[in-house]
Amino acid sequence: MTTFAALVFVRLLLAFSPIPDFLADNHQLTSPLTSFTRLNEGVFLLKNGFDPYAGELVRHSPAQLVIFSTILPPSKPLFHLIWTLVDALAAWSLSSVWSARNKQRNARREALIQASYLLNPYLVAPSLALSTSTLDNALCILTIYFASKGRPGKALLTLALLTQSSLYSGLLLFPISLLLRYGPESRLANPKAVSDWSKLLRYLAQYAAFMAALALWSTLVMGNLRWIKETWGATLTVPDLTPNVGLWWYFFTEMFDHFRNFFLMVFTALNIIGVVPLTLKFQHDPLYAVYLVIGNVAIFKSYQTMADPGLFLSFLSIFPEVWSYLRHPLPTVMWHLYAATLLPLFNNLWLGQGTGNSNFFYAATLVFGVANGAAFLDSVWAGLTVPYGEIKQDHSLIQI
Amino acid sequence: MAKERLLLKPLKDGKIAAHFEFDYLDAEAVPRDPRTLGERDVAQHFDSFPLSLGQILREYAVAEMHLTLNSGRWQYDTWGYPQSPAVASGAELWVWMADGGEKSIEERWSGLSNALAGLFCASLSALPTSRTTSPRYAFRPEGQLPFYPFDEPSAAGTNKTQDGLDYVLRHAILPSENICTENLTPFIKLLPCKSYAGIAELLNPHKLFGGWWYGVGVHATWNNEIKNVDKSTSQAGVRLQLTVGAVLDGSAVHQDSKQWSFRSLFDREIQRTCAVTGPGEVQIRQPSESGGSDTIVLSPAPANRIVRPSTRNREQEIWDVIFVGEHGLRLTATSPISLNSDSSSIGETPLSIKRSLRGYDQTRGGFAISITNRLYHTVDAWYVESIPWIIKPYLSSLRVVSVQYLDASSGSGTSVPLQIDPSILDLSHMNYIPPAPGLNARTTPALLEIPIYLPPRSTIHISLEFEKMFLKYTEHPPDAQRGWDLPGGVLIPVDDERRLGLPRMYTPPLLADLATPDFSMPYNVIILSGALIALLFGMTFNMLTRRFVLVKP
Repeated sequence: MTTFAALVFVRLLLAFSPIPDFLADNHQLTSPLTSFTRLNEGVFLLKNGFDPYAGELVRHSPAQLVIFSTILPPSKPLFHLIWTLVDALAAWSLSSVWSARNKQRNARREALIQASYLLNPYLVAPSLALSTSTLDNALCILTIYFASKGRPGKALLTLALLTQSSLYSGLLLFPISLLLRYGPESRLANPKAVSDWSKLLRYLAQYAAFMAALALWSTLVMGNLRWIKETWGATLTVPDLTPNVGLWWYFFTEMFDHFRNFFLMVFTALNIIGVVPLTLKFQHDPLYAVYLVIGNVAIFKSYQTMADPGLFLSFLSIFPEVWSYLRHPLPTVMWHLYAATLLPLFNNLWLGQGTGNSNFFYAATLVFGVANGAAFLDSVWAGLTVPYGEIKQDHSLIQI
Repeated sequence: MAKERLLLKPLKDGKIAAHFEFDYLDAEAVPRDPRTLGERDVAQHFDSFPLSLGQILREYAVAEMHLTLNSGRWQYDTWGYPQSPAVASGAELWVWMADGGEKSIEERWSGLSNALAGLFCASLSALPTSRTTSPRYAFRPEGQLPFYPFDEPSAAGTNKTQDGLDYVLRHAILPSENICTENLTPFIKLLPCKSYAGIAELLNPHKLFGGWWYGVGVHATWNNEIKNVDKSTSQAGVRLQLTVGAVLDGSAVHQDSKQWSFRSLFDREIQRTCAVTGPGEVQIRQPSESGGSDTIVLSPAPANRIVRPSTRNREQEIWDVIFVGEHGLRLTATSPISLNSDSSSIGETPLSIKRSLRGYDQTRGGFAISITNRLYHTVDAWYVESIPWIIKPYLSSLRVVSVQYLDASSGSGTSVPLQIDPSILDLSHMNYIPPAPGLNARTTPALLEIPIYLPPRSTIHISLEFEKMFLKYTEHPPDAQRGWDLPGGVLIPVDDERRLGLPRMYTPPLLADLATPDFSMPYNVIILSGALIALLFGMTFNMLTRRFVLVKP
């Protein structure tokens, strides 16, 4: 508990240091969907009677705009405090998910997990930049926490809330339903097929009801349906080509106009296509399936920021049983270090100094893609090879 | 009825501002009712009114139209107010049209701009889609708008005077379209005597387009009653005013006097009068009161003198009038050089506005707008900014940064940062019109109309930040690295009951530097990104579908 308090205190110190001033609107940390400046603009427009979505600048969900225009006044110190508390809540929930998985409490292990979340630079930096991805990540962990505790109502409501601001998170519904049905216990070592799928339809219906209610509420609050096009529509069609660390922006900047729609479908399919195979393959351990789906989306989503792979990497801390099965953890770390150094450097060379061009930054995003892919593939590999235990000297594990 | 005149005004910096006006009246005519657009038009008696322009106005049922094509920046600080306020750099077109009938406003607006583009050889075809805004408060009609009553009074038709067609305004400004000879030639063709007679003889493109600032204007207005403006009677009907303006060098200095003439300014002289318009008149502005030491001596001697008395905001104006005689006019003007007269009040405008860009990177930028009010009372004004779609303003960043008082700490002129009066910017009455939902937001501009209350004797500094868009590689113009022209902002003092009579002012256009992708990369990006995706997808697929077995070699 003291470690946790110390971690939150350090996080709070960082928030009130001069560092956040350098991070605001950084293309690595915030995207048009999560930028604090745009949230602030949306709140301003809403308060002054303009349609916040009309200018095609604001792409935050109506829920976020309404919360920050009514309940919480947008002032930076208050926001930093809220963001820190949300981070603390997420870290605490993450460690609780570990306790639920292992049916035990271990202060040292939990402190380690909390530290992995609160000290992860991919998560701290966006949070200091007041990116709303911090809120999305916290909602994601809360969903998993509620699902691990076997509370379908709360879990599905949180997931529906999360889907409002981050459309791809809706893909978590399938593994989350399994998690609700079978619990978070670690069964990686002895995979067994799941027999009963009956409850899944009920969860799906419940989630759809929450989604419909939230969509209806958003429409009533906003007065029209424009928010769908500007929030979810933007996620799927990338009208705003502001650079980010993902694979979409440069591809669709350079794409020929007549192929654009086709490749939008391909890129969206990349996110969706992994969900069912990953969940089915890991149906014996749905929590691990949730983890892998988060990883898959973090690589292929549009408007990716560092917070997306950050969540995936911090999640690895609750699966200590797979650590020893990772094939290439060191190269993955090196790739990440390499990309994390080059990304801000090349972004500044291109857009700030004007001495580099867009290809510099694009190359760095490719390296970042390789790093994320390496981490994801290694996690899949480790999850699949846990049942075979430690390989004896004269044996080898192959795929046929 | 036709009339022509030339106004010449010596400027503070020794240059001469020339302003040609050609006035035509389609007497007793009324702009066409848009509901009759499908039918055959009634016969018009255009007289000396240019036929091609008159037909365009009828074809699109235009009630009032203003088109200007200008080049260069009008320097308010040294040149004072221009004779005609329409000095926006580039092309500006604004039109009042009644809304009704089969043809939609958008059809007529786009048809009109294309017709004008054809008539004046100007690239106005980009106006309807990418530059059009409809200000709510700015650009009020300068003439009157005809009232078209509904045929049958509607059910609630008790208030009949209000029961007519509505009017809409379309305004577009294209900063990168500059005027040149190919625009002047069709313009001269509209004149009844072309450039063979009358003051139009002086329209020498070589001299005009060598000026510091030059432009042409076409203004069509309608008046229904006889008005007495400037002691010149204007009749009812559609009035067309064609103007040419230029700021020219031409003063030759001889010892203690400087001299300029038609020959030195235009390299031409007036040889004959235009029979259609009758003798034109040339007016020359005298710098100060009559009998002053710096009075301009004119040859031939002026026939008449017009004195416009000073008002609260404008000093007295004295204009000498010379009529173009039967054998033309060869004007020479001589004035003494007075070294201490450069602080004369000619030129200092009561208001002044400056706009500049802030920020050096290609992601964010900002406008820094400074507006000075030199008067001793508060001035209400609208600041109008037509924002092209390539930048997105953050309205939440709009604020008054500081207020400097002109009279404070005399001499140094430094500011006294007093508490900023929050009522200077009235955000609650601000009009922000983002692109309408039906229109393509990737081309349509946004419109910002900000009400400003300028405190007396002070300069206010306003800041507005914006996000620069990242464009697809096909959306960049061929010279992508040059940047994008941002049209000038417009400051419009409100004509309240105090009748300030201050004309609107334009700021020069700015160049926004947008980030560019590498234009040679499309195939490379598809290959590289595609390779990475294939690698990740393939390896995942491989791991998920194939079975693991332990083997002993």
